[in-house]
Amino acid sequence: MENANTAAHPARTGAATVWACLRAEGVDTVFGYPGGAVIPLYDALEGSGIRHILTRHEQGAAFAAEGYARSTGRCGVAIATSGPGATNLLTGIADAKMDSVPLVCITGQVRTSLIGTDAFQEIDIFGATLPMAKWGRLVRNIQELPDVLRQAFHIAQSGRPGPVLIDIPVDVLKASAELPVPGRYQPPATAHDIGAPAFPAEQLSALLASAKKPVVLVGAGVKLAGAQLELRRLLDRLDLPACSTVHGLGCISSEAPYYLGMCGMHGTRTANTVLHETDLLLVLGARLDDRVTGDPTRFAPDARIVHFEIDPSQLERVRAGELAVLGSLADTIPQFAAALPRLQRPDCRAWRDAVCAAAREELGSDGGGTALPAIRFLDELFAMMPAEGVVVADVGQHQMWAAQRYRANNPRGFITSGGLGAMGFALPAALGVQLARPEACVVCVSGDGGFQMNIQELATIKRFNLPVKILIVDNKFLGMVRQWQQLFYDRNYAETDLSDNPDFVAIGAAYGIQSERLAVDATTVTGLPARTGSVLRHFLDATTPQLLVFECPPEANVFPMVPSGAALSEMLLEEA
Amino acid sequence: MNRFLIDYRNSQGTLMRILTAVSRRGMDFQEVTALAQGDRHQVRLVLETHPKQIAQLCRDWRATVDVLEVRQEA
Ligand SMILES: Cc1ncc(C[n+]2csc(CCOP(=O)(O)OP(=O)(O)O)c2C)c(N)n1
Repeated sequence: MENANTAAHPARTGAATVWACLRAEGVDTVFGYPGGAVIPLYDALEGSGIRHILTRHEQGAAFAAEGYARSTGRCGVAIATSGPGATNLLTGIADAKMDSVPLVCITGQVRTSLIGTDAFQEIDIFGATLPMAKWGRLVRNIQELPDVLRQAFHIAQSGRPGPVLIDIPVDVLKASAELPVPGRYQPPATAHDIGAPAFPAEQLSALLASAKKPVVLVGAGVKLAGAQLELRRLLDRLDLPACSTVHGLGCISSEAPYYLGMCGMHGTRTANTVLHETDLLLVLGARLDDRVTGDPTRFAPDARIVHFEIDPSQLERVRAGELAVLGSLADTIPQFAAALPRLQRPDCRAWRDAVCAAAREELGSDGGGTALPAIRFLDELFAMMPAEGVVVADVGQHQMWAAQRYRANNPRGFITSGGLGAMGFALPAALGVQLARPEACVVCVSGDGGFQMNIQELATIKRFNLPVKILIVDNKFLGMVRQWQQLFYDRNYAETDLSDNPDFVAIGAAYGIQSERLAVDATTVTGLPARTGSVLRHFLDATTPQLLVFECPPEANVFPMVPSGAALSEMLLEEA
Repeated sequence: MNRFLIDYRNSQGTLMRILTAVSRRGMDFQEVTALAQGDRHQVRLVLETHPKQIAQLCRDWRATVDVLEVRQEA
């Protein structure tokens, strides 16, 4: 972007300024829902060069914007009116914060003179988002609007990405001023501008030399930095066992002989065992949250941790004494690779070979157990998906089955609400992905519970004829909660029964979406109906929206499972 | 009792973000003093904390946009 243009400028309204600033930031698509305080914004939409996608709920707009952002790495934009429109964005803002998604939320506010009077649809959304947005502003006048917007995009996308909120009173949107086209934002220095510390090659070398069981753990930071190719080259040369968090899936090639699969609460037995036994853990862009570590006080108890991380606030969360390598992985992975010839290497071949062989066997098996029909179905679906396809998973058992079985090699190819675990994420997020990547095969995998949380977005999908493939794994339960009730609450299935679910096929049809149902078939060898292959072929090849209900056994469970609060070594491998 | 000095740019919400890092942990403020210090602002917080919380708090504050410096007073 050029520096601020100082020549005379035509008078523009605040609303027109918003659209002009969005254009200047390269935004082509926004997701939103109108209301009184943002009518001026919508009034100025036509001719702005920006495509507005009307979702059917503001939560849908926030999640769709996240899908757009998560699948491209670009900033997502969501718009809502004051009061209830703004509060409906909150879950999306919290989700974007937890999963480091660049998101700019623009809300209308009551007019400046009414602020603080509990006016109609007045909510202090700036205050409400203080604990969850990365940054925010209540815009006080039209003059500051361009700078605030420029700063918002910068902050959302820089460092560890996250959500920002811009609250604009309606009179600011209506005001008019001769404002320059905003120039490039120059951020002031802050405490977390860490510069480029020297790569700690000597310390790392000493740690590697003495390690007997070194392992690499890869998180979302790698894809956020766009460093997956550098990562793969580094891992090929390091040749150490490597596992992934749910958000790191696709960064490591699933065919790599050293790949151990996903770790954490529903990770592979091998990955979790190795993490428990390791004496040197190299963490690349993961914040080590409790779903990954199990009981953090008993995580990797014998390991020195080397933590490659962009956000200093995420260091030493598990234990003090980490060797920190601060900075973007786009810089630190190449530094690691460059230092490699000078580093001593661990002597761990026999252990590594045994661990990797165990992982190959585990990843190659379907696990057996109650989940078998769902696993086989997902295996067949994923095997038929094109390599560049995108799976968008909701939250629950189906999400973990999908994460366990996902074998694609595209780091932005598996998208889910990980940190917040927000049911209702997948359907709107998938439509955002499809709009960002019109050519991609986008499969939304949802449970029967979560699907009903943003079911209204079927209308958005239909309006734009988005060829999203919606799979509902229908177990007629809030399955993941039911699993916990079965395992830890003596099968007291309190309020998790969904046996009176509506007819999803009829619902899809009512929205004008081609819909189909498949159920487990006890008479076939696989347990899947004979026509599964042809139904899936049609589902995946379609150029229009599709809905497929897969009815699976109600009491299927996800294993392995590390019970909440347990150590990774205490994972349960199958039904008691 | 632990005393913290946090320098920050006095932009909208920065002081509140510093304070919510404390309140989200269910901790009580013993003392809060916020004053202009030249072109910066500084808030002095007195809190009852245990060592693990101190490290977490300092990391949260340092990650806050417009926080300039975080120190613990003896
Ligand atoms: C918004 C929200 N509310 C509640 C929960 C708690 N929760 C986690 S998984 C789950 C069950 C999900 O059921 P379903 O969508 O049918 O998927 P399944 O687990 O059966 O695959 C619930 C209620 C949540 N994660 N998000």
